[in-house]
Amino acid sequence: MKRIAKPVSFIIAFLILAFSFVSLFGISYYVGDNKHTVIKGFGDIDWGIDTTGATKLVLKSATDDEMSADSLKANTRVIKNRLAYFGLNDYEVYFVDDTDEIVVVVPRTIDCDYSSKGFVKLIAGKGYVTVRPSDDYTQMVIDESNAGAFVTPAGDTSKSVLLDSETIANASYFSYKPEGEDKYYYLNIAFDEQGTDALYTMTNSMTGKYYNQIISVWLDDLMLANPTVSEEISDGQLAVSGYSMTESKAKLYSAIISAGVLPYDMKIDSVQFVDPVAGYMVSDIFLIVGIAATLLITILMILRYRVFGGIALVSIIGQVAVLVAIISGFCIPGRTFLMDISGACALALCVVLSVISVSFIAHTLKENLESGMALRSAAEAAIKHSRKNIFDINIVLIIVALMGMLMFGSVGLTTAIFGGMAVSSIYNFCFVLFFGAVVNFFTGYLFPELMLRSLVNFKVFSKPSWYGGKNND
Amino acid sequence: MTKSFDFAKLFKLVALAAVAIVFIGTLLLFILGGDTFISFRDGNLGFVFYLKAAITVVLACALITLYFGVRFRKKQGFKAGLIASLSACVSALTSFFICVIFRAPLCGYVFSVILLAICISLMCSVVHFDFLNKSSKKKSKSEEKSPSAKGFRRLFVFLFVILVILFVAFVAALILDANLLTFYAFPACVTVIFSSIFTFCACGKLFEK
Repeated sequence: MKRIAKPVSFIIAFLILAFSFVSLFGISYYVGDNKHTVIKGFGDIDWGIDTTGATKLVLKSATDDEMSADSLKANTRVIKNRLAYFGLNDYEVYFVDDTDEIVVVVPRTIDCDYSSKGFVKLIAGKGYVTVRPSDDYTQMVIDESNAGAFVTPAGDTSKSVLLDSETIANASYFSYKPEGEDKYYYLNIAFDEQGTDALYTMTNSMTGKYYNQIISVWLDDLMLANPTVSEEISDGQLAVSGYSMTESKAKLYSAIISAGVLPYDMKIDSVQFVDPVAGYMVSDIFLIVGIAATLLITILMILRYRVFGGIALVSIIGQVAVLVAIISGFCIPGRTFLMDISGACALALCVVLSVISVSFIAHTLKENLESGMALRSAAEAAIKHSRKNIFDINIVLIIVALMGMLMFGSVGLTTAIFGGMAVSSIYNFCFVLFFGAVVNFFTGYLFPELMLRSLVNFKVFSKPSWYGGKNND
Repeated sequence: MTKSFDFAKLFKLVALAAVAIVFIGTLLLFILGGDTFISFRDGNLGFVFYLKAAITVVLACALITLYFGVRFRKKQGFKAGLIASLSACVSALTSFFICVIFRAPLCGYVFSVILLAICISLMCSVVHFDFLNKSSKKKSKSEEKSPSAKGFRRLFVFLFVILVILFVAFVAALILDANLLTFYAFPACVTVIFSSIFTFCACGKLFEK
C-alpha cells in the first residue's frame, strides 16, 4: 500500500473546511452603507423565476386587427432568440391564440444593468435599428438602469434614416481598455453588402457627407450612441459606445439586434410582477434540508462505518462548497448562475453521489476486514475495488448532463439549429449535475482515498473496529 | 445465510407494475383531462421540445451503450448498456406517470423528478454491473452471501440516502409552508424506489444466466 504522510488527512480536511467556510459564507465588507463583495457565498446566489418571482409582460396587437397564430408564432420565435442570444435560461415565452397575446416572463434577478422591467420591455420591443444623421432628441429621461437616456429622435434626426435593420447582418459586443483608463464597451453592428456600401459612401473621407459629422444609432425610440465619424468605415462594421454603455447593455443590444426585428407590430399591454410559485422560503428550505440531511447521513455513517462518517462529512461539505462556488461564481464579478428548484434537486443528487462514493470504499473495506484481511491490504483492495465503480458512475452522469446542457441551454449547437429555446428546469439540473459529477472525482474518490491512506498510518486508527470491522485480536 | 433473488420473476413483477403505472396514469390523464391538472406552463414546450428531447434520449442512450460496451466488453457490455439505457427510459416514463397519479401539478418541476429517476436508474445500473462483473470474476465459493444479495445491499445505501434527503425536504417544505415542494417530494420518493428496484431487476436478469 502506498504510504501517505500522516498529516495529509488533517491537511485535506482543514483545507476543505476552510474553502467551504469561504465558499458558503462568502467574504464582504462595508464602506459606509455600500456592501463590497470579495467572494460570493450561498446567500449571494440569484434564484430564478420560481423562487424570487418574475416580471411578466403581455404584448398585444398594435392595431385592433386580429393576429394569426403564425404571426404570433413568428414574433414569439424572435423574442426567444433574443433571450437565447443574451444567454438567459430561465424564462417563459408563449402566445395565447384566443386573446392574440404574447406573454414574456423573465426572472426578477437578471444579469443586466436594466431592471427586469426595463429588460423585458427592450427584449419584447420592436427591435428596429436605425442610423440617423445628427443626434437631436426629444427628451432626456432616467431609464430603468438609473442612467440618463435620450429618447425619440427630433429635428433633422427624425426626418431621415441613413441605414436601418434591413441592412444589418448581425451584432456583437467587445471591450477596449486604453492604458490608464477605464474599460469601454462597444456595440458592434455588422452590415450586409448593401449596408457596407452605403456606410462606406457616407463615411468616405473625401466625398462622404457624414465624415467628421455626428451620426446617431437608435434602437426603436432609444438612442444607443451618437458617435462622430472620425474615419472611413469600409468593412461594414460600425462600433459604437457611450458613457452609459455597460457590458450587460452592450450584450442586451447585440442580442436584440442579432435576433432581428419583430415581424409583426405589437404593443406592450401590461408589465407586472409575479410572485414566485414555490414561495419565498425555498432557499431557506434548501439550507435546512442540506444541514439536516448532512448531519443525519454523517451520524448514520459513523454508526455503521465509524471513521468513514468523518470522511463522508468532509466529502459532502467539499462537494457542496465547490458546487456553491461554481454556482455563485466565487470571486468573478457579476451576477451568479440562476438557481432554481431543479438545480437544488441536482445539488441533492450530487450529495448522494458523494455519499455513495465514500460508502463504496467504506463498505468494501468493512467487507474485506470481515473476511479476515489485514487493515492495510483491506484498505488498498477497497480503494482499488471502488475506483472503477465511482469513475463509471461519474462518467455516465457526465454523459447525461452534457447532453441535457447542450440540448436545453440557451447557448450551444442546438440554438443554432433549432433557434432559441431553453428549458431552464432541465438545463439547471444538468448544469449542476455535470459539475457535481466532475467534482466527485476529487471529493468522492481522491480525497477519501488520500485520507484513508493517511489515517491507517496512525497507531490509534490502526484497529479494524475504527472502520466498522471486528478487531482480529 | 444465503440470500438470492429470482430476477426473472422479480423482473416480471416490476415490469407489470411499470405497465400498470403507465396505464393508470394515461387513464387518469385521459379521463380527467387537462383541466384537472395545472397544464405545463412552460412556453418552451412544443414540437421542437419533443424533437430535442428525442434527440437527447437517442444520443445519451447511444453514448451510454457505447461506454458500457467498452467498459464491460468481456461481460455482455453492449447488452448491458442497452439494458441500462432502456431501464433509464422506463424509469423516466414511469416517473412522469407517478407524478400524474399522485396529482403533482404538471409543470417544469416534473422534469426534475424525471431526471432524478434517470440518474438514479443509471447509477443503479453502474453499481450493479460493476459489482456483478467483479463478482463473476472472483466466483469465490466461500462467499457468505450471493452477488445479488450484496448488490442489493449497495443499492440500499443510495436508496436510503436519497430517501433521507427527500424526507427532510418534505418535512421542511411542510413546516415552511412551501406547498408546491410537498407535491413533488412524495412522488419523487416513490420514483426513486421504483427506478432503483426496476433497474436492479432488469440488470440482474441479464447476469442471471
